[in-house]
Amino acid sequence: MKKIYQRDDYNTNQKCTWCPGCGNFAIWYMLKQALFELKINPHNVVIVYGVGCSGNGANFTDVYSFHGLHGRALPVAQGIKLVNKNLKVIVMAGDGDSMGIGIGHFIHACRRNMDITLIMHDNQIYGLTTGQLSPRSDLGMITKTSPTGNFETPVNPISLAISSGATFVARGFSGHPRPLKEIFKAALIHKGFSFVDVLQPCVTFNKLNTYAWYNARAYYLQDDSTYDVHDFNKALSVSFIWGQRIPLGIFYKNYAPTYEDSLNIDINVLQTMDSSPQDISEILKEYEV
Amino acid sequence: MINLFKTLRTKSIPDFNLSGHSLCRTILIGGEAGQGIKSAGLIVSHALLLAGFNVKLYDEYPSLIRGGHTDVLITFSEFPVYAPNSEVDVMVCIDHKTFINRKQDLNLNSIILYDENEFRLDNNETNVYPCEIFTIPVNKIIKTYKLPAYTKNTIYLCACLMTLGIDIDTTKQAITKVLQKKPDKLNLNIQACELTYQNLNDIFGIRQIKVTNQNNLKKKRFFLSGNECAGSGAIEARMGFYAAYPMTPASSLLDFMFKHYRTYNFIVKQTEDEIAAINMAIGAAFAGARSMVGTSGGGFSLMVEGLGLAAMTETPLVIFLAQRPGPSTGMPTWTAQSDLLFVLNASQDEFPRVVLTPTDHEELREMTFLAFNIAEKYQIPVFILSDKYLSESYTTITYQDPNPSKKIDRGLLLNASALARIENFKRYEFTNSGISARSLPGQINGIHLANSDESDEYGYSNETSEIRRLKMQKRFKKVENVSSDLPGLNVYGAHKTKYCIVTWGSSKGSALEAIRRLQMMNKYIKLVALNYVEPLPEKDLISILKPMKKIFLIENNYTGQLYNILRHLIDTSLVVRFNKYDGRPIFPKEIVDFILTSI
Ligand SMILES: Cc1ncc(C[n+]2csc(CCOP(=O)(O)OP(=O)(O)O)c2C)c(N)n1
Ligand code: SF4
Ligand SMILES: [Mg+2]
Repeated sequence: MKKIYQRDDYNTNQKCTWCPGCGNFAIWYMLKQALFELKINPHNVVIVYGVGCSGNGANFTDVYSFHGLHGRALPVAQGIKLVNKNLKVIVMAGDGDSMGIGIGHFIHACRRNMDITLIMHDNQIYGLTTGQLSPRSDLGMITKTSPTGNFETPVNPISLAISSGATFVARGFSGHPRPLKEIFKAALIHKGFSFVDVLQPCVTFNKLNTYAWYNARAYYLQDDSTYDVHDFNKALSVSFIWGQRIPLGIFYKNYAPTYEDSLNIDINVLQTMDSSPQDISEILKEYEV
Repeated sequence: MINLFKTLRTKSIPDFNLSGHSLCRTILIGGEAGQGIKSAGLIVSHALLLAGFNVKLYDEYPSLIRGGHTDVLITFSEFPVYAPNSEVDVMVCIDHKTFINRKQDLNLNSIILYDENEFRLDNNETNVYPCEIFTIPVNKIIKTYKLPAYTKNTIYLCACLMTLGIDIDTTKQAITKVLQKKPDKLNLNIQACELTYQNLNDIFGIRQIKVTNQNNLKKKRFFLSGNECAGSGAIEARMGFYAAYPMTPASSLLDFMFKHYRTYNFIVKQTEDEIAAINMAIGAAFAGARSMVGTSGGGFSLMVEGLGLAAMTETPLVIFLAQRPGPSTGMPTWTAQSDLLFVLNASQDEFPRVVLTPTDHEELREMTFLAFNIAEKYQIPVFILSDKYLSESYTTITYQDPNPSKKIDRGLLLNASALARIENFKRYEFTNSGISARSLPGQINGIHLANSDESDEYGYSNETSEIRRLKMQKRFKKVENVSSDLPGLNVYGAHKTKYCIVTWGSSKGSALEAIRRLQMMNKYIKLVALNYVEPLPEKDLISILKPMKKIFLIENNYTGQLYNILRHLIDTSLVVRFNKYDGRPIFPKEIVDFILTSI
């Protein structure tokens, strides 16, 4: 059976619950657009969501969706991918989700290089819990839980991803929806673990990293035609640029065998609805007296 | 020939043919950890199996790789062996600690084998234990024949098998069987075996153990561990995904899965931690694979949030938990039955689950198979509660080809044509049974959201009081009839008696051996061995326990966790409790003594 999907088929009938002006809108819209333009059909897509404002997006996109636990979206996504390689598996999670509670899974997902795309909604704050410090919050930032200004060094997701073995590492910005869509498309096409850090203004709780703040600093690596995305050392050094200027675009890209290809086991979950028990006499033979 | 063999006493070697009141004999081999003590135990076991006996092997070892002390307990009989016995008939002391630790388990007819060139048993020690003591010239044999040190255990175990009257051919066959994967070491071990039989022939060679019952030799028998049984059950159930982080006593199940995943085409993943393991398994199950995780109490502590996720998203999941003593790291390589209340209660809020507590190796295999059917039919998490003792002990089982009626039940899983007929698919549709049909990612028309937030019939987040109530009722309604898929109560022993033992999980074996022994003393006892605790088979349990004058509740924990569940159902004044909590399994003798003193 074939089904032709229209642009609108990627939407559910649920109402959006984000604050007006929230950076999540552009991410949501551009991801759907990228999927549609790449002709990836909704029934072949699974999006796994973490818990946070971004996770609430689970209700709005009409593809197979799994809204998991805070910090644990990546393992769920990996389990899905391992048993059905044909699915396009995407993870959408916040900066707290990915760089705080779930940072261990992040590193392992990078080094495993499964064909999964992680889109991190990086608002540098805890949105859903109404404005606490995030591991991505800049030094000096005042939040509900850093009344004297943050004095913990922020996690650098780009350098962490590159050094952990991710094979596609990029950064986009909600304020630049069109380039963001192109980055999403490149990430979705990439075979291997792709990570997109999306600077996503939280208009309600982050009064420091606003659209204007990012706009004043953002520039694209790809504007420099000599930038070589395959140059690991270059990518790593550029990943540390943050402050007066903030690089966007694709930092690093490489090809490495995916975990699932190396494992080379295809269990065909959609075909094996078998109802007869597996014959285990061969297993038992080893133990026969 | 070296003529150094001597006995410290002059009594003849006792006759180990099984008769009268002792249906079982037990060998203890002890030595330094990391020195192949378990392999020695396996060789002895295989020799006994080849001679026609049934065998149980239990090993105790510390949580370190070298040094420290390891014991292997081998109980054998022509009849079924229900449990390793603690009373030792032959003690092979490769180190002094073996004797020091276990001398209280010796009896008048026991014999001790050791090498006086390894350590000395002084007179004070030996006088207290008036059993036969033989010094075996292990080190002399090694030196004289220039054998490598790793053949020492072979010399000890051959001496041990000679005292039992096992012939050299059987012993060689057993050595070959166990060491076949180490061919480089096989030849010299066989040579050590031959030299031992030659040198010790004068003393032991005349013996020939008699197996009166030839039936065992006619049957197809298997000797395997509990985790190997559980793993076989999972593969038989066509498990598609197994995830774990190594943790004793569940690690060997992970190893087992890695041995077989290529042949049986399933995914096995060693994850970064137990949180990842359970979340990955949930993802795999959501995508359509029968999924299982394996761990112990500490790892399950990390999985608790994920357990709730499986329940909330109604994703079928099997959780294999092999208990060990805690809290925290506790005693990693020892045993306990102390996580029952934990798995029954672990949750955010309330949701149903099934807790299976297999009571022996065969049930471990059968119930692992069953767990997948229940998990998928009812779309709930199902526990298999094992423990170090059950998971890592070896036993003899006979296996018949499965009953043709044995089926894999994948529950309400929609196929493409069924989905094509559905408009507006509701994954969490409210139905009479509470169970709603599943679709799998990749299927057209089945798109839905599985939500960790409370949600409506489609999976969309919904916090209205009406949906909340309906969803709570749905989740609990699903399991109202789950008992119909569970086996009947395990009841053993005498019919007409006013005394009943109650156990759950692995303690059944020792209880069975205990009632067998008590019967020989004309004490008739019944046994109820629960192989699932949730749902609790209340009615059957009450009808059996009601007429009792005394109920012996036997558990390997401190607080009496099953007792705490049952106390609301039974007259607690009739209950006498036996609780052991030292990391060791409950032995038959302990139950016999307990019952004799409390009847
Ligand atoms: C185990 C656990 N701890 C805490 C929470 C509460 N919680 C929900 S969202 C969140 C932080 C969200 O921050 P982030 O991931 O950056 O997402 P955002 O809301 O900013 O998009 C926290 C701490 C939770 N749901 N689960
Ligand atoms: S709180 Fe911030 S991140 Fe959350 S929806 Fe509102 S603007 Fe967006
Ligand atoms: Mg955030």
